[in-house]
Amino acid sequence: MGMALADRSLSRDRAPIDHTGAAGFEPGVAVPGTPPSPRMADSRARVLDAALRRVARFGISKTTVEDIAREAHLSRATLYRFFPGGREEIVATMVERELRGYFWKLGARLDGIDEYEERIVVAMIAAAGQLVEHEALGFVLAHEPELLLPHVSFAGLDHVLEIAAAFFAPYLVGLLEPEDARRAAEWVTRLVLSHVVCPPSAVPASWSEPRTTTFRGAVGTTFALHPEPLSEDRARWLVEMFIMPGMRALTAASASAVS
Amino acid sequence: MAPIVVGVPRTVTDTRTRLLEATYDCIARDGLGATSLEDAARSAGVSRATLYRYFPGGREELLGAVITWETLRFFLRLADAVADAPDLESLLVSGIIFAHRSIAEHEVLQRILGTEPELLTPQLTVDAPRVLSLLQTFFVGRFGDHELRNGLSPSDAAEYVARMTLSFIASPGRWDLSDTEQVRRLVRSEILAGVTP
Repeated sequence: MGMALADRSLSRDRAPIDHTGAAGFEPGVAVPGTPPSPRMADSRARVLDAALRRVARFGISKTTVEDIAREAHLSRATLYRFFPGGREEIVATMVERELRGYFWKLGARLDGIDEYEERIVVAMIAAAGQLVEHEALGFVLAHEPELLLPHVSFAGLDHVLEIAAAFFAPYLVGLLEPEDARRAAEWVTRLVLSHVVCPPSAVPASWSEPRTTTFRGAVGTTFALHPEPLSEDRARWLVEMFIMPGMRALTAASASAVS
Repeated sequence: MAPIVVGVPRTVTDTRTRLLEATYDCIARDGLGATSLEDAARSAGVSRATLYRYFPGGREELLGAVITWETLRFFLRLADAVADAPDLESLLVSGIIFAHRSIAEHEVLQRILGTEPELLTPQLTVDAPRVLSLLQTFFVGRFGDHELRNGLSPSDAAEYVARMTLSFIASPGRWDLSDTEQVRRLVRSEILAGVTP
């Protein structure tokens, strides 16, 4: 997917856009901060890389500190020196790093695209694509969805919407007032997530009783993300058909509120 | 009752439904994890063999079916609540407000989300495309002759409206969905702006 997207360099000294003005945005979320000590950071990164490879192959519940140490070619003691909190701290730090990396990649994809409509299209395709291409995420969803889904359902999703909207809002400032940009960014995020969970091809023509109901709370069930939840054509169609008219309505409402 | 959702039997009180109701009562009382096949059979007043006849997959199939069934009932209640709305905008506004309140006040749902969400959210996620289709079917018949923008088919418009509505109902984000004015604003720009002329 995303063949039309230029594969841009991910060099670290290149900030795609200034996020600091965005309401509620923590710069650390999208842009990796400066590590305190390079050697320490390297070792921690090595542990996190190893943990990520393990999770992508075996999942979170079957990954122990010993597994990660072996994968990283480090002793257990060394590993605890970098992560005194053990497995829990490693997993939490890994998730946080993946989240930052996700937005960092997304930012790099958007770098240099000046046209607002194109920014939205590219952001939607890339945001969905990066989710379904993430191997560790795919493994967890397929084999241990009960570890992830409670955190991104109902009120849990509000936090995800907040982070994603804070990331994307600055890309819409100029087209929209900052508060409207924040609102529109959340809305674009909703549309992307809706497609990831319900790709158009998975939506039945009408309600039908499932042929086989398997309780998905059970351990060992599989749950696969569609490889292309949002095609480029569909993203363009959504933006042109619904999002741009909606944004014009936002602008008109803001203008009439001011006058 | 109006045939709001095509193809969904509304008044069936067959054995299967009775079994689902009885199992739901167990879940409401004891939670998902603690409800066994024996509990469900006892509550329904049937034998284990009868339960297996209707749910060959046993406990797991039964619990999955109950979640799907209660999800459907939730949306049928929602459809009934907004059936008299005079136009699409007021239907969406009152529907989102009603759904938001119903989720907050759904005791069984809230208790499970608080204590054993890992047993519920995977099934709800699997069911999401089916729920989306339910909402889409509901909205398709709701567009008046001149209410759709040129070039937009009722089916495409309904799918978009269904996606956005479902998203807001499940996770309000920054919106206060008990505030009618806020909901009206979001319905106008995020949901209807691209759909209506």
